[in-house]
Amino acid sequence: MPEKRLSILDVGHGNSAILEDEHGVIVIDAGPRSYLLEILNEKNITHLNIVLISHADQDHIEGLLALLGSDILIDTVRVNTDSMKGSKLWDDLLYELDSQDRKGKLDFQVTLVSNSGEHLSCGAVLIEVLGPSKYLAGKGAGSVDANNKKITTNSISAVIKVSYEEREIALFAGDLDDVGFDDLLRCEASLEAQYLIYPHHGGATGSADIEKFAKELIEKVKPENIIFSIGRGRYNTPRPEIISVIRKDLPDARIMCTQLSEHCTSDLSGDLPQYIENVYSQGKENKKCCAGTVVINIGDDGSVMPSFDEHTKFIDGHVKSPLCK
Amino acid sequence: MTINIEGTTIRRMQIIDDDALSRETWSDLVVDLELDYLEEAGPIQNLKDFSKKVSESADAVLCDHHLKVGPYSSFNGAEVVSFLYQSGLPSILCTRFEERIEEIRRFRKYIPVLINPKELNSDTIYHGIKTCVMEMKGNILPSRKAWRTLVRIEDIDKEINPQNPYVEFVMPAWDSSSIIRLLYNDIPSEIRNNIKAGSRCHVKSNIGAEGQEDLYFDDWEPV
Repeated sequence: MPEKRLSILDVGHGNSAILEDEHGVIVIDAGPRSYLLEILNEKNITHLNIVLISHADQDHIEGLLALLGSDILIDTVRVNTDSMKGSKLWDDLLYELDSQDRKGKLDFQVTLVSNSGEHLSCGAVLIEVLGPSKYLAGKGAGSVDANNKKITTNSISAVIKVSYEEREIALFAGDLDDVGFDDLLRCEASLEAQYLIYPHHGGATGSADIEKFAKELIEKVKPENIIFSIGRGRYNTPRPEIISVIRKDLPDARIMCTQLSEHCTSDLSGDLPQYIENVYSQGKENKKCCAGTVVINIGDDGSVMPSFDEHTKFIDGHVKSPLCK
Repeated sequence: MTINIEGTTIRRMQIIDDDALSRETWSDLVVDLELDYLEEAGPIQNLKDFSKKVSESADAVLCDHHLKVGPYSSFNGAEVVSFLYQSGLPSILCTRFEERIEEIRRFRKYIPVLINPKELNSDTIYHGIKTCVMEMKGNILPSRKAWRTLVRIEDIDKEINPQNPYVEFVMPAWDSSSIIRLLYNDIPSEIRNNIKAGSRCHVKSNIGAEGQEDLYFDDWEPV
């Protein structure tokens, strides 16, 4: 495994990524259930320098609750407020974070915005929070933006870019919607990146026309690779309309779904892809993996697992009507 | 014939069920695994003595839960399996757990394998024995590993049995949308005397478990 790597985890319907290098480990979103804890345990990772939570949805935060009670040491946690989120889970998470912060076990701040002045990086790997702006976060979920559009939990989803040595590696778009995207454009954020972790698992994006949103987003990000973190059987993601736009406007872009979409095949009887063998993927159970957990080598060769050839071979052999081809 | 799992040899299984017909059905499955079997005809009156007896004659156990039928047993299957497992015998509990999950749960920490009769076959028995052996050797499945985690009390339901009500709670790290029920008396007194709806505390539980029937709880801590 490469020394500097970014793993986009297959946690089913949800988002979680781990950035590892010789200076430490950063987590971006914690996914659902306790899958992230299992993965960290398997990798013998016992210390996290930073945990960034894009927003308060269950499929991004639940895994952090599992970490907080465990033996894993966490130095820093950053998340935005969300007064609109009335879930007990969100309440539980804030309670636990506050409790551990007051005991001096970690540093918890309720701010994950652009231009915060805080240095959130891992050695030479740069982590930038491109959104939400202080304006949008300050208005908060439940309010309206400058265009009088309602700000939701997804609108204030943090958008995080990972770069290394002037290479813009990956853009994590959380569950960004049209309001959040407009905010990014207003602030002239530099969204370009080689990998786009597509927002909201390739599902609906607020009130926007999803094709128009997809078109504008990929035009700004110009990704070479687009990853959809999906759970098979949940919410029918990714939406075929989004894939169509990508294939039309970025015909050379590589599309990867962590799990097999129901749009692509109804048959799960085949073997798991070989590239999944040594990597944790929640979809291994019940053979739901497509690309599975995607591991990007941030260092010199920039390779990715699964490789294009390996993934294509699996798709050609097992997937009846792949959306991505 | 024998099975060898990580250096542990399994030659014979003890089949424990008050119903002779069930014992016969299960013995067929054990035979399919090419193992010998012994049927326990009862009575089971003392767990320590019973454990000694079984250890001398068998290498693994397959046990029903509803054993307190007539004179057959003074203990239910969950108690028996838990005791035998702690004595070093790979032991599988087979029952329709939906009806009795709270009763089984207090022993679940020492019941690595719980199989619904619909799913009992020679394959699941083999894998059950393997899971037990591996766990005994310290190789614990992620679904069985206990982690300290937050619990939020939702309700204490005294309607059915005010003397031993159900405590309903959520373990958000496991599943923030599911209510779990535990019998009040199965929670340590220093904790249960201080909980009410809305309370939070910590417990060790196997939050990697897939189903609620697999969860166990240990080392309760007050908030």
